[in-house]
Amino acid sequence: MTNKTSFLIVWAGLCTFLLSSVLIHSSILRKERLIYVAELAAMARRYGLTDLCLTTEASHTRNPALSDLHSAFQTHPSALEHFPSGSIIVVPPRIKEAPLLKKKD
Amino acid sequence: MRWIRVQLALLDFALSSLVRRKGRNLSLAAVFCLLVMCFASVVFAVKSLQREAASLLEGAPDIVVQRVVGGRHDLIPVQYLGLIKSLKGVQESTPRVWGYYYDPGSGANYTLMGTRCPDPSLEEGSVLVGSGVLRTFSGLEHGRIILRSAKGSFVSLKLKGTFPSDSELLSSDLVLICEKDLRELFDIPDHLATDIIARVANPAERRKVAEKIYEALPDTRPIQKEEILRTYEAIFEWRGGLTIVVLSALILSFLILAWDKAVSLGPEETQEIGVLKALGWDTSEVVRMKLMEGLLISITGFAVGIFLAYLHVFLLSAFLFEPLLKGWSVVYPRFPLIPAFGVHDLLVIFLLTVGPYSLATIVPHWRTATIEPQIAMRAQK
Repeated sequence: MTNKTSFLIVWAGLCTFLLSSVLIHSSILRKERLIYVAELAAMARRYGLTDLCLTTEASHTRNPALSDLHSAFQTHPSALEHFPSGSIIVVPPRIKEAPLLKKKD
Repeated sequence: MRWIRVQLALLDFALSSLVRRKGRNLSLAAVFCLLVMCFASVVFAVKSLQREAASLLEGAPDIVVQRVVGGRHDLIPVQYLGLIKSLKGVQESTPRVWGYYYDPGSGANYTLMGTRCPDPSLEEGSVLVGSGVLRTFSGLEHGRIILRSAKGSFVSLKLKGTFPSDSELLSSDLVLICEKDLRELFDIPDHLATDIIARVANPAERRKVAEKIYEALPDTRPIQKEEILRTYEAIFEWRGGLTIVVLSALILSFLILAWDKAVSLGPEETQEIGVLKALGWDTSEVVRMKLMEGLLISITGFAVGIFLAYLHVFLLSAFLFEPLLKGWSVVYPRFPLIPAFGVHDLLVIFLLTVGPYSLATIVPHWRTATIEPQIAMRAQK
């Protein structure tokens, strides 16, 4: 077996090791961390929490699920953009789309 | 067997060719690895946050009823509770008193959530806080938290405990306080609340209950759990927000790298192909050998990039993305992400990265391999 063939075998082995270790470790980590997900869901139920604490700089980024078109204006009169978090926390679909509720005629 | 021996020989030659231009090929592999790492990090982080939001917010209230005055959210009369409770399908309904508190000392915003006392974990005059509050709040002294009320007076509350650090994704900025204390702090009278939550046992009835609430109380805005979950789906969807900008930039970088490979073939490489053709190699063997070179570089970059992306997102808490999410926030949660990707996600990343790059190496080498060997060998530097 030439040096280069040995090198290729080692290279293939290393790439396979890197990718398979990612998949195996992710599976182990998923099982470990899923335990606390159930506890957090129970916490959300107990205290009636509706949003993740991702970014706390403004009400519409802290509680996007409960915000409306005016929430950004309540932070500042000209609603200066809270970049970059304001670009990630998009407008909730319920505001952009037609209302789910039918108005009474 | 002969076919396998030929492929191994081509692979051997491809490796020698790579070793001859070590510096250039190592830097190509490093750039490729960096691009794959950034691309895979975005995919891993977005998928994890999407899955966590869906799992954690399964416990969110089925319906949140807000009062709207002049198009803006306003405090809701507690008397609305009676009507909501009387609706068929509503199992339970409670008013929530909560709000935001700005601490000038730290420049941070906190969420104060009222709870009915006595609570198993809390009594009047005490609070439970999230880890982010402990890290940043300026008014913490000797196991007490000092807050300024809406009337200007200072309120001192005992720090009863903290939420587990694992719960920072929900509770990092949270201060749990007895409702009576919170009403005094924010000067919210007893007949008003921030909003009302309702539990509806049958998910199929939620929309109907929300419609009935809106018909009976036209100045309210019922928000269903599905809308809460859709908000977070939209935030972490690849088409939305900064995700599409970052992904577009990365895909463009890949295309530029592949394009550069496709259009530029140095005179040294052209001469090399000319020599190989003169020695009797046919076009398909030259192209296969060059394809193997491209695959060796791109697969190495892919494997190392995926590994580094995994380390970055799941073991180092995606620290490179922290400035994007944190923005101007003072309180930022420290939370471990849960892997939510599978083999199919790695395959998609592979096809979007290794595929175009490897294919782009074929075009110039095929073009060069089809010209006369003596012309190719005379290529000038």
